[in-house]
Amino acid sequence: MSLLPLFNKSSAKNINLLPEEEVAALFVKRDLILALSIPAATLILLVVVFVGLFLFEAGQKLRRADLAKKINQTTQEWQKYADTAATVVQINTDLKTYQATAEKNKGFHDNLVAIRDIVPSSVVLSKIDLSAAGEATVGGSATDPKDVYQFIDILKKKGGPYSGVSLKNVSYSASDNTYKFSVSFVVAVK
Amino acid sequence: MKAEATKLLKKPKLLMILGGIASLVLIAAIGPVLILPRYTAWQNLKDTNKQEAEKLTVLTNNVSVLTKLDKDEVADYKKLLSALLPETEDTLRAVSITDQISKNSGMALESIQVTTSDTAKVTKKVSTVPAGTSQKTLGVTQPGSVSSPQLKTNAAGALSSYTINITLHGDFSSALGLINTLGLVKRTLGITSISFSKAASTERATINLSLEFPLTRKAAASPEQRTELSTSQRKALEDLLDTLTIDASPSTLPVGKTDPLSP
Repeated sequence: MSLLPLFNKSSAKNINLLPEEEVAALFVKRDLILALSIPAATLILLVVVFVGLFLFEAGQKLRRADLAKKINQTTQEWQKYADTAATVVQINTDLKTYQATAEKNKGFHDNLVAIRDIVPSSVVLSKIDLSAAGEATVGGSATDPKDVYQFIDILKKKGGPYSGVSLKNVSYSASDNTYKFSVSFVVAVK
Repeated sequence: MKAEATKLLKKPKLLMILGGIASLVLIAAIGPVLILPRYTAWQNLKDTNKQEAEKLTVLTNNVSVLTKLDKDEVADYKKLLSALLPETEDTLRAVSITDQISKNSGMALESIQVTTSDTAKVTKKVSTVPAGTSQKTLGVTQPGSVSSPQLKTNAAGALSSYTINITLHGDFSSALGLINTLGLVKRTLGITSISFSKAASTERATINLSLEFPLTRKAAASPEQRTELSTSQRKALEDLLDTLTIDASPSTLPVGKTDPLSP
């Protein structure tokens, strides 16, 4: 329902027989009350909000006191098992250390297998250095340079666990009729 | 003046607007002074209580878990992990284990180099063996064949690990077998580097292996810290109890000799 007619005095029919000045004074009074009721309602609302928040805060304070009491009681109860708790924490920590080390060892194994699996049959490795980070330096020899080429090519093109391939040197020695090479790369089998 | 006021009073829309403005002024005046601080305090308390409630839940859960723990089971796990990660340096045990796994791998052991805390000063940072310090060497040492053993310390200055370098002669498969064997050893030892070298004239490769033997790090428990052994952790521990078979303990030979200088 629209409130607009309330403010539109001209459209309202004056059915009273009161004098016009008195009617006008009544309308003014009504308008004034209505206008004052807005800040009054706001003030009441603010007071309600304030009281509400005060009560909420008081409730939370009570809850806090209750929680503090319960925490204190439970902590005292926990103290009885403090040694067992320390042992359990120690077991967890040590187990993690063991598992991390075992995983690292497995990584070494898998990385060595990954290196072995890409060595062409005619290539003979004379040196493999492998670090925990998977940094590998491999040296070897082959009678045909194409075999060395194949090895390096596989390393470069296969991707996957192999990256950062860098051929360090290739040399030929007539005394043993072999091509010697050295290559570094990173191998990381996931 | 009075006439102006009467004129103003006859404009209801303007009165309403003025009422609205008065409301806004009230909100602007009272809100930041009385309402906002109450609201902030309430929210802060609410957040604190939420954290405290979570803390209580963890605490209650911890106590509940701890009361239900099987003490014998915990003792078994503790014993196992004390063997896996001892508190103090167990050099001779580590050497004996290294000797055993080398023999098990079928490779020929050439040398073992170990640095104990007696032979190197422990500092707060990682320290290497200073030049000229004595190293306990078993077998024949090939000079320059292994890197310098290292001692690592934790922040408190306590020894956290030590390294044993071994040199073996064998083939690639045996080396892989040795690495696999490490999974059966009742002592945590991790490879830090491995190096193979083989001269064309020799039949077997020389393998230099650097093994790190970590020591336990003291862990402290607090009531707020979640303390439990998960199902996966229990399973892992049970598996370790079943699978770890390689260990070393001192010999039990009769003692006392008439001539200790004779064999």
